[in-house]
Amino acid sequence: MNKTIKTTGLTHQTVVSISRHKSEPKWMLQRRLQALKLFQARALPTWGADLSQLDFSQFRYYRPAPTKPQTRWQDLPPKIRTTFEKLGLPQAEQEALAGIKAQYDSEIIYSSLKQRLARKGVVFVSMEEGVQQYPQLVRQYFGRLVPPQDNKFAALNTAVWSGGSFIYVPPKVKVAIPLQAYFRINSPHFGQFERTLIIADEGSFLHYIEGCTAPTYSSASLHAAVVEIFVKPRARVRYTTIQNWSTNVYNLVTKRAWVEEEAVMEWVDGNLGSKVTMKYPCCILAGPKAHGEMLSLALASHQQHQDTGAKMIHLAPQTSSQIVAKSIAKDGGRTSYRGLVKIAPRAEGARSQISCDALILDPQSRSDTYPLNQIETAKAIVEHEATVSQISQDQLFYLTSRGFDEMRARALIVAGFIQPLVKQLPLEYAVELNRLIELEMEGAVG
Amino acid sequence: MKTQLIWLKPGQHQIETRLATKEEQTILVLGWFQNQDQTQVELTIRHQAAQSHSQILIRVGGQDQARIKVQTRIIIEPQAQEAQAELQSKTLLLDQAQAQVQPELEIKTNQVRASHAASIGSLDPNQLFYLQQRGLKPQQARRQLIRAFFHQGTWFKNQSIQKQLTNYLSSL
Repeated sequence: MNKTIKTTGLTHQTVVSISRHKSEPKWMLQRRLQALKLFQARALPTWGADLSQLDFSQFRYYRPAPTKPQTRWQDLPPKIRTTFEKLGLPQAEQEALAGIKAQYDSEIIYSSLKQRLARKGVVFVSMEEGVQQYPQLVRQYFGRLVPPQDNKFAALNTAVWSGGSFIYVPPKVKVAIPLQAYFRINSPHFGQFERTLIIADEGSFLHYIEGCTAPTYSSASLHAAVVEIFVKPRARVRYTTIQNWSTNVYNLVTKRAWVEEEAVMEWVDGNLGSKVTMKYPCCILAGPKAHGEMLSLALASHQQHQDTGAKMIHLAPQTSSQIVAKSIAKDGGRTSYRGLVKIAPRAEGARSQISCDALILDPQSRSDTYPLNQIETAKAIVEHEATVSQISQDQLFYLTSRGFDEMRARALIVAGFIQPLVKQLPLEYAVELNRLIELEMEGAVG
Repeated sequence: MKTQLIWLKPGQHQIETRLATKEEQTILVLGWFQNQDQTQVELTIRHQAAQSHSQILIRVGGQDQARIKVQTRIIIEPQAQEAQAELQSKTLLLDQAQAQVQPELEIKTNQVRASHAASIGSLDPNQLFYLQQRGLKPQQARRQLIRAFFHQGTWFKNQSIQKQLTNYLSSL
C-alpha cells in the first residue's frame, strides 16, 4: 500500500503522482496541472496576514493513509482508533449522528453512511469516491464556483487536493441529522488540501459539520481547503466549522456558496487555533430573495493572527444577508475582521446587516476591522456596526461581588460574549467549544 | 472640545488628525453630490496618547450618477490607553448614485472603547408619501427629506455650524 511516491515539494511530478495514485480520470489530472501553472505564476497576496514565512517546498503534498477506506469501526487499526476516541468520535456515533467521515492524514480511512440516507438518495462520499462514482456531477460542478484562477491558494488546492467530501442531496430531501466530517493532521511538514463539494438540490435541507483538531509540531504546516456549495432554489444549507488547528498551522481557506432563488445559506465558523488563518466564507446571492448568513468567532492568542470575515454578494432583487462576527484577542494575539458586502445595480430591495464585536483582553493584543461596503443601487439598505472593547469593569465587579473569583468571572463574561454563536451549534459542539474557551481563559487574568 | 467641520467637494480628500493626551475632538464630515460628481475621502484619526477622545460624524449622500467613496480609519496606538473613539456614518443614495463605505478600526491596546456604525440607504418611501399627501410636490418632499438627513442628531448646537449648514442646504 505504502508505495513511495514523491510528495515533498511542489512540482509537475508531485501532481502527476498524486493523480496516478488516486487512479483519476484524465480530465482531473489536466485540471490539476493547469492549476499548478496558475499557482506558480501567482504571487502571494500582500494584503491581510503575514505569509512571508511560508515555504512551499517544505510541505508534503500527499500522504496515503495506512489503511484502505473502512466502513466498520472495529476494523480500524487500534492506534488510529485511540486517536479518534480521544476526539470523542465513538460517542458521536452512538448518538446516532449521521455518517461519520474521519480523515486521518489525507485519506479517508473510516467512513460509514447511514442506510436511510442512502435510501433517500443522499450521496455522502469522499471527494475521491465522488470523482470515481459520480464523474458527471463532479465534472460539471468542480471548480465552477472557486476556479483555480480565483486565488493562489485555490490554485494550490486544485493542483494537489486530497480528501474532503462530496455531497448531493436530491430535491425536497431533508437530512434531519447533521453530516459530520472529522479530520486530523498528525504528521510534520504535511499540508492538507481538502476539497469539498456540496450540491443541495431544490427544496432540500442539509447541515454539514466539520471540526478539526491537530497536535502541535515544531515546523509549519499548511492547510488550504476549498469548499464549494450550490444551494438550489428554496434549499437550505448550513455549514458549521469548528477549527482548532495547532498553533503552527497556516489555515488558508476558500469557501463559497452559490445561493439561488429563495434559498438560504448559513455559515457558522469558529476559528480557535492555527498560526495564521485567512478565511472569508462567501455567499453569492444569485436568485431573488436568496438569503445568506454568517456567524463567526475568532480567538487569537500568543503569536496567532486570525484574519477572518465574510463576503456577501447581492446580485438579485430582494436578497438579504446578515453577518455577525465575534472576536477575542489575548496574550498578544491579533484578530482582524475583513469583510465585503456588495450590492449590484440589479439587487433592488436588498438588505444587509453586519455586526462585529471584538474583545481585547490585554494591552499587547490587537484587533482590526476592515469592512468594505459597495452599494451600487439606491434601493438597498446596508447597516454596519462594530465595537472594540475590553471586558466591562461593571460586569466584572458585579460577578465578583456575587462571589465569583476574577478568573471565573472573566470566563463567564467571555462565554456570554460568544453565546450567540454557541447557541447555533449542536449540543456536543457547544459543550466542546465552551470547554475550549474556558481552557483558553485560564491564566488570562491581567 | 475642538470641533472640526469638513465640507466635502468633488475630488479627492485626505485628512489625518492626531490626538494628543486628553485631547477631545469632534469631526463632522458633510457633503452632497450630484450629476457626475465623484468624491473620494480618506479620513484617518490617530490616537497617539492616553485618554484621547474622538467623535466622528459623517453625513454624505448623492443623487443622479454621483460616486462616493468614504474610507475612515481609526487607529488607537498601544500607548493610547483609555482612548475613546466613536464613528457614525450615514450615506444617503438617490437615483443612480453609488457608494463605497469602508469604516476601519485598528486597535492596538485593550483599555479602550471604540465603535463605529455605518448605514447606507435611500429615503423612506413612507415619509415621501406622507409629505406628498400633505400637499408637497414630489421634488419638494424629496428636498425636505434630504435636509432632514443632514439635520439628524443633536450635534448642531454650535451656532456657526448651524448657520453654515442652513446656507449650504438652501443652495441644494
